[in-house]
Amino acid sequence: MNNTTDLQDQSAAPVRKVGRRSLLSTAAVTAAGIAATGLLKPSVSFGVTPALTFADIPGTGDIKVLNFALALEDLEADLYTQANQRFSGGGKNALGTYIPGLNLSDGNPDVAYTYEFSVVEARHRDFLRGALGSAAITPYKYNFGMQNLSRQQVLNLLYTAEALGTAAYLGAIPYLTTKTYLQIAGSIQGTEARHTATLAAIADQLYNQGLATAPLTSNFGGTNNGIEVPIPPDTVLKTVSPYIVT
Amino acid sequence: MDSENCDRDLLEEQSLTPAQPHSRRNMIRYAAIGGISLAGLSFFSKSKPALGAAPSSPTLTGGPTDGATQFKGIPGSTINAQVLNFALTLEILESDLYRQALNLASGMPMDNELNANASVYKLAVGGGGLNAAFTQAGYLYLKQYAYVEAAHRMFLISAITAAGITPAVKNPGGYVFPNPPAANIKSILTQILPLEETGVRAYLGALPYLTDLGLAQTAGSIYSTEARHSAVVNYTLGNDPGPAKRSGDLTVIPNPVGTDTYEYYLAPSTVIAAIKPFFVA
Repeated sequence: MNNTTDLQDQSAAPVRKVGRRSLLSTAAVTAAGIAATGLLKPSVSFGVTPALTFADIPGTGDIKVLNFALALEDLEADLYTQANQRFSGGGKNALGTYIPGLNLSDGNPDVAYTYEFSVVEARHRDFLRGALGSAAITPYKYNFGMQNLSRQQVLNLLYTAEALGTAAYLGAIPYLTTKTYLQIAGSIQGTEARHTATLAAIADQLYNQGLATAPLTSNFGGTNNGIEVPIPPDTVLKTVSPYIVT
Repeated sequence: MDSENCDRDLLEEQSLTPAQPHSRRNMIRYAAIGGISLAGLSFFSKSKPALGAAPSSPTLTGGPTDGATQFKGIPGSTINAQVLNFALTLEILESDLYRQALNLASGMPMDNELNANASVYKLAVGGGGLNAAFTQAGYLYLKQYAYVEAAHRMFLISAITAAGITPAVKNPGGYVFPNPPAANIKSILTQILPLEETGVRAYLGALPYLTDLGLAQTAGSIYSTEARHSAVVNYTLGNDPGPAKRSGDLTVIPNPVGTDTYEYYLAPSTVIAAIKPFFVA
């Protein structure tokens, strides 16, 4: 991906697709945590266009919701794989792009928990893919510009993806039809919330970022009385579409 | 509104920031804008859900049928009302013990009410073995989550009341830590942790008893924050952030690959029994 835009420089990059920036801004307003890092901005040189919508997700009812969840778990699992490569000795991602390693010790909390959470996310993905069987959505490939990200940017991108995943599961609840899948989705969603919070705590520990570990009350800068804010599926898919390579 | 359970001054103090809600009514509206569907409460009156994009089904099917047994002793004439009051019972307990814990960590009398002004709280104890950074961070989390749990309690009281249901009330005798924490951050967080972890399992266990999607989303949105709190308290204490299996935990997915890959849950009746030691007779 030689024309991949460095995420570091994207604030100055031209926006090819009219409206995408504003769509993302809307998403950012919906979830302040997403906006906090500034990293979940669109690439201008890759990404599925037009952005995916919930209507593009195969299936109906619970199957559709599970495929939506699988698409997100696919993305997260791939992101974690690439993050592991970046933090350790490097490697090639699914697109064949070489990601140089930062050769960090796994004694560091960001490195250690990135690895631990990568195992969990891969299991979530495998579980959903197995449960859906032939009804499962075809996996995408993802370009996060990982080869150009600093250690801190990798952590923030992971945090952003987990926060989005947390809100996405909540946003998908209204589309479920059975309680069995409600509880299964909940059992995954809670782990996404734990990951999000832990990554925020690590970012605060390493970089003093002042990220909120959880939704807070207004006297601590929160916007929703300490309650998680769901993000609807279409908004979630718009937000991740710039990373999806077709 | 039960003034004993819901501190109007606290709410209004929190509302002083510009662009923040200025009344309880606005707080609820604000929460609804943020995506917490109080419209879901319309299910209590058997009306249709008012959640944005139309879900494919207005109500959830399947799920456990032993609600009457599981929520025994929890007030409410419908299962949804009982689940909400079950959640409120937990939030009243959690917020009260957070209040006590924050007082302890701040060198204040344990029975002080939660002050509307968070800046009155200053760390007044040691780490108990935690390093300086984690002691400071742990205290900040304690303080932030104390207000969050109070907000959850007030949110549920408002929502339940608005739905025409009588909310669960504070235990007349109050609440105690069965294992009283020592005056240091490590000990305090160690005693807070089981409350949060039980809260996570309680919400996940109660979720399939709800019969409507709006309410499920609201409950899920509170559940999610309990999971975050649990992870951060664990992390600060040097534990794995979890989920980590505890005695009696149930698994949603039978025989999952690997361990601690999904949140565990507890049956509501198990939770009700588990929190009894925190209630002063």
